[in-house]
Amino acid sequence: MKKKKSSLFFMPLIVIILIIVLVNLYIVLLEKGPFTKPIGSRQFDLFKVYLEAEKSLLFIDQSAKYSLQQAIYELGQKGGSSEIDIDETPDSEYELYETPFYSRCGKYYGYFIWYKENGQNECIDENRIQSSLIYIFKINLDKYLERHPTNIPQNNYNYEIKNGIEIIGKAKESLRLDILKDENKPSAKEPIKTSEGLGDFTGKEKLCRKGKKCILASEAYNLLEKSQEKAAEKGTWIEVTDGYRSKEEQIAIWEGNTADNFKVAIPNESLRKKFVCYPYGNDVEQRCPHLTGNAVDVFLEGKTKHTMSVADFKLLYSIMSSAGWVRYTKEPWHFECCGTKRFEAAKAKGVTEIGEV
Amino acid sequence: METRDLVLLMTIPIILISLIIYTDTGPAITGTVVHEPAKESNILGTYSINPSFKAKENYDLTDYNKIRNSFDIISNCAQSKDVQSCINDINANDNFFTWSLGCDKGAEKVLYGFAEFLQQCIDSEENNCLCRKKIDITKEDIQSHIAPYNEYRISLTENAALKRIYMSIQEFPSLSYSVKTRGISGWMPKIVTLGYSLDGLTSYNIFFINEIGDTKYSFGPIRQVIIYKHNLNGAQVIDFVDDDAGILIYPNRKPVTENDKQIETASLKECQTKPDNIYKFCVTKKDYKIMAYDKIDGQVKERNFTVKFAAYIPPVINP
Repeated sequence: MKKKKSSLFFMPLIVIILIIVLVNLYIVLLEKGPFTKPIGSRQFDLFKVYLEAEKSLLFIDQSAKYSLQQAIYELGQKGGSSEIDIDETPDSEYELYETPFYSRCGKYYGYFIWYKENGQNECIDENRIQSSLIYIFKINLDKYLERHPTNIPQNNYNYEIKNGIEIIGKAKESLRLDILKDENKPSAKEPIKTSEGLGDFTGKEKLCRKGKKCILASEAYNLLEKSQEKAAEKGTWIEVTDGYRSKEEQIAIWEGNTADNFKVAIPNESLRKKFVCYPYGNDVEQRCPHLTGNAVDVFLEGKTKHTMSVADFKLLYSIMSSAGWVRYTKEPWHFECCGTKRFEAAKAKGVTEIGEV
Repeated sequence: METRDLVLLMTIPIILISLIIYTDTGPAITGTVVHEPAKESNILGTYSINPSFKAKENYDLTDYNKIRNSFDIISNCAQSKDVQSCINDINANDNFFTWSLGCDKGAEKVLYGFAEFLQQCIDSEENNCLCRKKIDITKEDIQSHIAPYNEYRISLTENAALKRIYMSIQEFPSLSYSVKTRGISGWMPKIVTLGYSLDGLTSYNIFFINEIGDTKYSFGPIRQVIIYKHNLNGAQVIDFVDDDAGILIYPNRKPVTENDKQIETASLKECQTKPDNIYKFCVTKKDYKIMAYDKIDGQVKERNFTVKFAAYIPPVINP
């Protein structure tokens, strides 16, 4: 008898729950609209991204293999030396647009000099050969990586070389692949806030050069977006190749812990200071504007400092200065804003271009 | 089965579907490999992976030390013999490498050959003399290293302030060189073209632009390049000239004169070049080939591994 009474309550309760669930389901489905994707498609999207990542890893491995072969060949052609591409301080406007390079003893009709007339025998040594191999390897690897459809970061490796020859590239940062809700829609990225409170817009199409790391302070980023609008008005676009650099990164460049290995290429510190910002001291942020997040190296669509013509640099200057940036005279691709030492000095003078301050 | 069991059974899938839909409207997938994206973004999450790598090639960098050791032997030997004989001696005894004096090919040979000729003429300590260079590019060189063009075009740009002439081959932008002028100026070409077919050289032309009036002149086709080095109003001058039936002429076809007299080519001596005692060496590793690209022929193929370098060897001092 007792059992029968409880079942009397149970049935209406089930019916009520069922009605509530059905009404809810109806409302949710009404809001969502019709199903456009089959069930499980997101899981498949995740698998696809996983496969993409595996393909990218295979691509990196193969690229490294080919780059090493090419680097060994080129190293021989360069006599164990290398031409390191640096932001040299030019002595004249003509030199400004020349390909800068540094080699310890120079070249003789295309051949790197090993021994000079004055008995100088320091043109070539084992350290230099190793660092040149890594440098040439890195240049070749970057050429491969920039051709891959995925945004594979460049300058992302700490290199180790073993006899035999084996090059080990230890990645500083992970390869990140976006899982998109809709593959047909662009992945319009907004800057992600970094721990330093800066905006990371790495991978943002047509603003950050593929493979480059792009981080700026928020005010500088807003100014950059303004520059992009100005560029669009002139039928082009600009791409950032370098922005914020942490102090640790600057120290790594100075101490030769990057593929450029400036410490081996330019052992003389006072000479190296001409090409690489000295990362020590209390005034480091004033001397090295990239450390503030308010300085950018920027080029017109897909161009480099070697392929930019004089007219291109003039156009870039007009785009950037009209948005409020100040150009550094000695590096026509370098612009600063928002309170850097050079920016303030230029503003005080009422100019949009300035040299050393 | 009782009715209530049936109803319960029907309820289960409905509840499950509802759960799925509710979950779908919440935050995106989270876990070890994905993270929550910004709102209203098309990005569901990010998959990250460590892209470290390892690459290996059967080659040893100690080759450079072996080459340096052999060079020391050549350098010592060159105090009693000529460098080529010393290289022959080394080649007879070296099981690992083959040595040669220079190994420029194709575009490199054309550019550096021209640059070396011009630099040596500028550096010559003599005056009122001629520097001559016979145009030579062998059939073998053309057939082995030719690029898919039928012309090399050297562009020259003079920078008076830097006292340099910059030259490059248009088809090979990465090939360039600058010659130090030491402030010497004169009739300088703007473009030098060298045409060829698979059988050999077909034409050699030099083009000039007179900046006063922007007039264009040319020499060609020619078989030798001639530079006239002389003094003009106390300043040293180098002029590219041509031989027109034994008389020297400027690019504007006017004869070269001295004290209003035309200068005969035969009356001038050859400028003696100053030896710099720097030699270009190419050391090729035996029994080793490597797959690589070379901009000179624009191909990826198996190639010999060659170390190229230049080195100063002191001249032999006669007792």
